[in-house]
Amino acid sequence: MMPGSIYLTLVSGQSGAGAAPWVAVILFTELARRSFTTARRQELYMLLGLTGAAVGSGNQYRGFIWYAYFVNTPQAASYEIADKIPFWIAPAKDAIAIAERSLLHMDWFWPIAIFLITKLLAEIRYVSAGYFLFRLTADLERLPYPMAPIEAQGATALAETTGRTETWRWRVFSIGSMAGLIWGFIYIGVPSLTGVMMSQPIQILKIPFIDFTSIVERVAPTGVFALSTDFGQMLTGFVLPFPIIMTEFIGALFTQLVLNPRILYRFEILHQWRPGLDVRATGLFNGLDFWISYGMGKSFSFAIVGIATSLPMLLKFRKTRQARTGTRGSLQPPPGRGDFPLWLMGGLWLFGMAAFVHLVHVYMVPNFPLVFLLGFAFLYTPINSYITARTYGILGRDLFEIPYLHETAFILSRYEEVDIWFVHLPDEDYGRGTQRWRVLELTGTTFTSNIAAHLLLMPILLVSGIIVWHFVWKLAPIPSAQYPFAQTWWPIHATTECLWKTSLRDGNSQMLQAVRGGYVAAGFTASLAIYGLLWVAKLPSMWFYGIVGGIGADPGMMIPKVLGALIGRFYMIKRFGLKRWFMFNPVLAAGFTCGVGLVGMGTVAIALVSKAVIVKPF
Amino acid sequence: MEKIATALIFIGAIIWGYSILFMEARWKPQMLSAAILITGIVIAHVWEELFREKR
Repeated sequence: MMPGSIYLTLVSGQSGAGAAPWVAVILFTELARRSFTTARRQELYMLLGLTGAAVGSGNQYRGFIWYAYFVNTPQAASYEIADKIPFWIAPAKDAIAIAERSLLHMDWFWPIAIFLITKLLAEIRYVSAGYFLFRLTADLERLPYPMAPIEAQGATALAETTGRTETWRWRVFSIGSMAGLIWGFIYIGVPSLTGVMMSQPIQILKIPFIDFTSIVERVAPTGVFALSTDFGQMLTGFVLPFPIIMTEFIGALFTQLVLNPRILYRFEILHQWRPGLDVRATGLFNGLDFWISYGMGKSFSFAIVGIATSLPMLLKFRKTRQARTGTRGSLQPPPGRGDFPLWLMGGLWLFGMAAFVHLVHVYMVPNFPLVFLLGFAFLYTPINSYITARTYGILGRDLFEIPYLHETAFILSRYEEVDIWFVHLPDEDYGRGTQRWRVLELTGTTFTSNIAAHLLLMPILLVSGIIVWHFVWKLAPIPSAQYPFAQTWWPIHATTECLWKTSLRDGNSQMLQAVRGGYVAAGFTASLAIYGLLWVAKLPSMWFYGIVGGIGADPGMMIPKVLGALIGRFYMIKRFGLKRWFMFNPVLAAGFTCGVGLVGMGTVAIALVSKAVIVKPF
Repeated sequence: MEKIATALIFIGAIIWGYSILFMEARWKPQMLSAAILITGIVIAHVWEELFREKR
């Protein structure tokens, strides 16, 4: 499914990678059932992890194609960064590899070599540090990891069905697949196949949206409304909690119909907008005038709310544990789990991190102060990872994320070169990976088999990903009419990227001018006030994420999700009953993704074959 | 504690509304109201997790 996933991302913006593992698991459980055998839960859990990694891995190479496009954009030229993109990110803008649209060219040697080395070092760090922290928190501290049994149950429940005669799962999956095939043919298949034959593809439904912004401006100037045509999103509406979707939609409607035109535009806070602009230009100007600053404040409020909700829970856990006579665990691993020596894992992490810092400091950004790299690598990362591992062990979720950490580091370092924005800084969080080890333990999967499977898969994925992107790029320029989603959004992303990457260059950039303290404070305080007032009114805290997430967003993009939520709530639940509907939901979504993915794979295959055929005049 | 949290959240929200409407949305009064709101929210959650059951 990886080629299909890459192709779909460029055509419609939806990769379907999330549901792909479940597609594989459902297919294998049915195969096992029809072969009168049973799929063991260990096998299914490994399958889940590996398929997710396989399908998701395709998009890790998107950066190569993106920067091959970005380096030649007028935006990169006008912001004077086209010639400052480092050689280890993309070849020069006049390189033959870019002109020929080929990834299998020596011009790509350094970008691909640096990518592969950093990828390998990152794998070493994440596996070793995740395991090390798991041993500390699960074995020594005996933290319960409350969400791990739930994750483990997914594979266990499916494994149990393989031995029985249960058939509803296959039926629901087939219905979803057929729906996905039909929808995929209309939305993806027709434009892709006609794109092979014609210079301008036929789109039955315009991809990715129909823009009503110029109509809406008559009643709501500065308001945006672009109706998303990806009705596959209705399935997301089936799955997500109803209150979140509805509050998000109401928040977005309020923003575009009241807040933007009646308040922000009227008081000339949104001052760059002019009549006749489309959704992308309106969004960009509104963002620079107000919403980027407001969004920064919102991010800080999420961090504060995360701390405020989690800290008392951690205190409670500590209090109850002190009250118990509980025994402290030991670092002696239980037998049969396939454990590794701790010194080996600690040493591997140290090697992986030291080699990465060396690579960054010596070859990538030699003028960036080393103290920041060392501080991130050997101080921030271990502390942050340990805190996250503990909160996963106690609460089953992250505590908070520090927003704009990189930007703060860049400002403090007084480093003004553009190249630092292209580096993956060594601020990492291995804490959330600890839960996976706990799930392996609960499902009875040995740690060694998990490592072996990843070692087997990694080289295959590294090579196949590059080859698939090479052929997809060969089909047509990216972005172009053949890839409507990329064609619509990549130019605007290029502008945004230019704004960010030049934000610290001379202390007087457009981005720095756009960030205003009063608006950041407004986003921060308004979000906190909404959270607080919801608490006072005893309303569910999930409303907060809906309302605050919806403020500033485009309601048109949410219509398919809202339709899905309404149909689910007012028809499906009545028709099937709450319990059965929520049982059907994920299987239906997996089937739908499978159907759309098959269309994606089919069309990319036909397009590749058609490009390989040379038509002779006789 | 619940009443203190409720009062602080209301006070914070009112000060924020006032700063937006009558103080040109300057960041200092907004951050003051944010500090009050954060205190209220923290107290609310401490009460919920550690004291509500005892009552």
